[in-house]
Amino acid sequence: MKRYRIPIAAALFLLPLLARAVWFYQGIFWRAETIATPDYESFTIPQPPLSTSVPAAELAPSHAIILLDQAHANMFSPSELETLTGILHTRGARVESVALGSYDNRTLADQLKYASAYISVCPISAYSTAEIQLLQDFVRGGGRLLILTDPTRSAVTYDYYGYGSATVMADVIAANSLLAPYDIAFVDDYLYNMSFYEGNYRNVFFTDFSANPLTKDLSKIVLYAAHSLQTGSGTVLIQSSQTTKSSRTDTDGAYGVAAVDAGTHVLAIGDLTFLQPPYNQVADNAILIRHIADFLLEAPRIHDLKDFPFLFQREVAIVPMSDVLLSANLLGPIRTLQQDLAGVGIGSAMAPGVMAGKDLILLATFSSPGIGDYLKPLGIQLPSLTAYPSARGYPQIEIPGFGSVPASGIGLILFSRTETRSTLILLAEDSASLTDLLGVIGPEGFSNCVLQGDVAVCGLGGGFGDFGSSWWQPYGAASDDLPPDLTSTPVPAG
Amino acid sequence: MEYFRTKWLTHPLAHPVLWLALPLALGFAFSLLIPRPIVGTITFRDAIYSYSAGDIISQLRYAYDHPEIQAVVLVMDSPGGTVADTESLYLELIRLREKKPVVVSIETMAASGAYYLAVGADYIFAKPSSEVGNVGVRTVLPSAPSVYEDEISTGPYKFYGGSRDETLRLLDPLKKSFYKAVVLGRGENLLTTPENILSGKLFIGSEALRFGLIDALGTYSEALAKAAALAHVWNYETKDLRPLALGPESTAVYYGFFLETADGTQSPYPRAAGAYYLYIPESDRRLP
Repeated sequence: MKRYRIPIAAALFLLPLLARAVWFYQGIFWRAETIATPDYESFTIPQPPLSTSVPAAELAPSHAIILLDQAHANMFSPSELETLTGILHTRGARVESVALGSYDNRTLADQLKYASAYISVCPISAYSTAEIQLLQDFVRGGGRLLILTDPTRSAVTYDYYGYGSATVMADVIAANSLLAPYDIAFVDDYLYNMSFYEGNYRNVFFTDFSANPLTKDLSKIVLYAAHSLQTGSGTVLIQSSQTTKSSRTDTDGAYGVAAVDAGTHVLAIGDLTFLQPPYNQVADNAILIRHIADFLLEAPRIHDLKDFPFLFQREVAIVPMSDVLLSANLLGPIRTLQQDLAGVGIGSAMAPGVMAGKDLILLATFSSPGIGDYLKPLGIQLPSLTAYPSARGYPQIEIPGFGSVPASGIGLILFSRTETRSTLILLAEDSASLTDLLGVIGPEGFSNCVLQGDVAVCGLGGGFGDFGSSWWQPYGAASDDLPPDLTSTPVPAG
Repeated sequence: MEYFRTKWLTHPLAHPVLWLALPLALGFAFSLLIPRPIVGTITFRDAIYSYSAGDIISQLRYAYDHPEIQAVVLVMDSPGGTVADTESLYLELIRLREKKPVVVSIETMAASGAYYLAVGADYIFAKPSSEVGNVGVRTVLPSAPSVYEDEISTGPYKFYGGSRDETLRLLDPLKKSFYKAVVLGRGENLLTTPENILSGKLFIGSEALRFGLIDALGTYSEALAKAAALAHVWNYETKDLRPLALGPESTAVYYGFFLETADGTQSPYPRAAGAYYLYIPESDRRLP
């Protein structure tokens, strides 16, 4: 028994230790492998693919005037467009602001007369129907329209006095009202790509371009949180890869971000950031910006009569026809006309006849010899004034678009252009009426006149009011009933 | 003494008592040196910033240094916080986890940096409606550099810390390291795409479980049991590590991380600009 005493004692000693250990511990925690943590040194800051400098092409200097909309709560600073406006300036163009309540009271209509292009950036407040119509006419006349929007430029308004609700005013609403006539519409979203991006998921690479001068030489551009857009009759110029998503649906797709209308006069781009340093130097963005400048400067602007006095490209010869008497009464309005032209940088001088290399203002009467040669291209037929009273009771002038108008008490302002010359014809019954006709012309346009294309029919003397509403007869509705007070109008000598 | 020797040691039962009872008594005495295992709990209901991170790191270090603490349960309800403090906490948690199992129990939210911290644990519990995820980084871009008449610096970015573009680009490596931590932490449990995780979405607990962002839906008690099981202990006791690590009077101090409006209301926005692993609910963006 004695020989077991020590092992039993040892066992008894260990028993409580073991019991307590087993009571508390089922085993020993042992982590076989070290726990991996991110290799922080391996995560580097992504650098953008910078473009090589783009040599400026040898281009003819431009004297175009580009309008920059600042009248619609536009959410941008002009400095953000410096890369674009800088190119415009170096090419000789002038960028002019369209602002509310401008100091010289110029309206949009006034400014569009002489502009080549109109830029609207992130507009928030709505365009009026009249403004949209003016811009449509402007585009129809060859003007270029550039609409830039950006998802980061929404305006937020708070209802402090009501329920405290916030309203987000997206720039696409006003922009889309301008673009609707051209079948282009921005989507109130932003594009992003979680795998193929430049520094940040919302900076998306674009490599899919339609063939167009605006996308020439582009292989890759980056846009920075761009609105997508859709177009019906227009052309999508820049389209995303299939892995790009729209924030509106979070679904993959090939989304357009830039488009031109069917006439290629309207350009819409859903990003503003790519114009700003340093993003203008990323990938081929600089080339795109240069193309946009070309787009704005190469506007084949066709001026029509409503653009007076911005009708001429060169010095103007003012030529009175042989039967026009340059009386003292007439000289004064001619001087005013010259001043109006000088105000827009066009020199003018009286001349005995048409001069090569100069534009022309022709002062004529209905009976001026040879005037028919000028009017024939315009489709205007003058009556034989000696045939008064005509079968219709009074000499009528057939004017395309107007129908028949009485020859008395009115003046015509006609505009035509060829490759070599722009011609403005001022036509009235006689020299005295011509004086009155010159009086309706001013830098703001033609008062007391109805303009239609390149023809203006102006009431002279008492104005249209004296004629009532029946002086103008549309096609097929000519009437022999004349206003009573016209029946005694003397017939001009033929 | 003589009495003791003659009276007791000569007793017929004296010898068995000595060689049986004495070792047993000694065994009992020495067994008390085996500590009762403790599952320490760290409760974190704040944003992650220098003060709150300092408190938690003290508790993690205490757990690391004390062998009786066999496992730790981190109870979490946080929207995340600063990048650097999140990384400090994460690395300190990993250090502890090398030695002891760590289980996270998400209460209402473990968003952004808080989730970064959670993926450093061995096991993640959440409630079915807890908000989990929001993986990503956010910052406010600095102003474009400009010069002032009366305030001078020695470099163009002295006032701003960097250009807007550089600041934006800084987010990418931060995002990638966050994502890497998620991948390393969740491993094969992760059942969703990188795109889904990096979208920055907050997932409710049940959805987070489906995507493998957490391990189970469960209570704090279950988190304790899981921690004990991972540490192979039972009959353990739980202890709040805050008073142990920071003193008995210690309480969580919410030290001005969030911006306060003029009327003293706390906004969800941090006071200072910078990069954050932080979820900011878009509850009320009106200016005061």
